[in-house]
Amino acid sequence: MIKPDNLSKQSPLSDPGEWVEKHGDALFGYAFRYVSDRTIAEDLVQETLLAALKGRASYSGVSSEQTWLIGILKNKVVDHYRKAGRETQLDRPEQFSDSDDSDYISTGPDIGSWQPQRRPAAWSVDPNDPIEQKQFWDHLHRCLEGLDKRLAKVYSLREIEEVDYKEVCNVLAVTPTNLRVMLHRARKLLRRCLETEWIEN
Amino acid sequence: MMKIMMRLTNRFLPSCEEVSHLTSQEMDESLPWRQRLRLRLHLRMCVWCRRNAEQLQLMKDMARGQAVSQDKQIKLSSDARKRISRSIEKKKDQS
Repeated sequence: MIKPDNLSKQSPLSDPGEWVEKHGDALFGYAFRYVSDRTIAEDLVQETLLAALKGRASYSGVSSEQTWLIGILKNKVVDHYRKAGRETQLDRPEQFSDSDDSDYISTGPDIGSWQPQRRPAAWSVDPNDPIEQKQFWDHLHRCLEGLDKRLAKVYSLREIEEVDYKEVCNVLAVTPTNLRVMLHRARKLLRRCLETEWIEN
Repeated sequence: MMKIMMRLTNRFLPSCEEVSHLTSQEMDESLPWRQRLRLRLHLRMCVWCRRNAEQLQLMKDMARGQAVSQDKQIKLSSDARKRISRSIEKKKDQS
């Protein structure tokens, strides 16, 4: 067996024994963004590194070692959601139809306008004040926890983790149209929640 | 007459409900110019929809700002580090 070496030309990969040290945090950070659970994220990192060890002969050297590892991890995350999806049914858009929207007037000449009591209030938040920032975040967090799990997931992936729109579709296996509906719904409910929970108090 | 007027206004001016969808959509992807124009025109005239759009953006900015400071704390624990290292060493010896 050829010992993989940082400097050796035959193998562009570093010693697998160093992977945890070198890439552990990056992989864990990526996994944690998606699953929001330390134990599951740790398991995914472990599965990834073991799969990488097994398949290291197939490493082409085109991408960096870390990019390659993250690519494997991404598949593990997809698998994880596929398994979990059977229980949580991430992609069930019919539940999130916007037809029952009580924010807007549904008949008459003002159809589609805001219901007077639902019109967005003015918020007096200073985005540069660290204390208000923290309070804002705490409330947002609480509102997120009260949200349907699927909606909370897509919202936090998109808005907080800034995961690419298409990537969210891929990893969570939802169609772009469903994602759009879910994000709209999540944003609306969260804004409403923040307004009633915080701004009005 | 009323009906024709309404159809005309709808044609040129989207409702608040439609604007709410467009606002959300524009946070994720760029809109076709026609929709973008409808959105801009409506936002210019409608204070509530403008607030809605500004507040959604504020939520995004605030959440992101907080998340960045928490990101630094997302690290593999030393226990997990050891456990994973051990499992790799074990597999390495087998191969």
